[in-house]
Amino acid sequence: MNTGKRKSPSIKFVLKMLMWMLIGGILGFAMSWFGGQTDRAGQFFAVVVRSVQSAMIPLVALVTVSGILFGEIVLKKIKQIEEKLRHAEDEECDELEYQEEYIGAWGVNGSNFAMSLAILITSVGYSRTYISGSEETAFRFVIAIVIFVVCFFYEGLWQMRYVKVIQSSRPEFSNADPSSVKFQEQWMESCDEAEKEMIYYSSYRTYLFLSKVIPILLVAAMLSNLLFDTGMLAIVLLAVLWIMTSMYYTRSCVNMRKKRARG
Amino acid sequence: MNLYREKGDENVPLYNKLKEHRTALGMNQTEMGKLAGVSRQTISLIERGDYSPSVTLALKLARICQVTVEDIFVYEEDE
Repeated sequence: MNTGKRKSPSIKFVLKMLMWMLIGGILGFAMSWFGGQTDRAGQFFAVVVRSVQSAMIPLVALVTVSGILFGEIVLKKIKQIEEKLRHAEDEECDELEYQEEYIGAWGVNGSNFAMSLAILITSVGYSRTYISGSEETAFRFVIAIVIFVVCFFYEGLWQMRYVKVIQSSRPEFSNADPSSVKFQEQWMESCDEAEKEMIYYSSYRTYLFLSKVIPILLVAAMLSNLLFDTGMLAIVLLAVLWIMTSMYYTRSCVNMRKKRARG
Repeated sequence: MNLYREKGDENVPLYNKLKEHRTALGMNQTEMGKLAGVSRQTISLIERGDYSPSVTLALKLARICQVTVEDIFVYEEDE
């Protein structure tokens, strides 16, 4: 039995709020100093944007080529592991499957990273001011968009090829069609209880992570608007995302409870 | 990203003799998984004590091994 005095939850909450207020005060003080530097920061970001705009084609081409090379290397390694798995003993299978999952995770993250980076680079030129600036900038933008489409097309196909490789060794997943919008549901239906538990666990961890990261990003977007007049859009989008994430999670919990209560 | 290894809960005093029963039957994990309707990985996780199966799966495994659930799974709580 724990006889030690424990702080009540409300005291803990007040202490936490005081700590955050203190952090806010320190942050505010730092920002008041940084506020005087906004002109310099603004100039710096303008230079960054202009540099990215002028190098948009080589940058997006670099991302595309790197994405293709990385994707092919990952897929080749996974195929090699799959080949070894066909002749492996039980103990060896555990290690090989771990390697396969690890490399596959790198591949999927690399693929998503390449697509995000390609969006980020082309977004810099995706402005009416830039496109209508001259015929040359418009032409440059069109070329960048063509490469961007190639990048997306390849990465989308890569993810389908990856699924097909996994399906070749796990025929129970063959009902899941990677080109279908219901692919995730189909995949889930093919999972057994241990695999489903792993997905639920990972999803809950993701939800917890988002619940912490979204408010931080929201504060960063607010500060950015305060200092650089970046506009309300990022704040609105993040606030909507926060509400939606929380609402969707609670809705799922309530629905599940209702389903179980009905039997 | 090795969630299987993270999941092992050392506080749950559940032990199992699935591997012994499986090898006595001359089966590998894939074959046992097929009979039980689960993946080889799930059988491996249970054998390593990293996953506690549902009652349904425990009963299926016991039926495959032709023993009772208690012959495979042992719950030992420290006093």
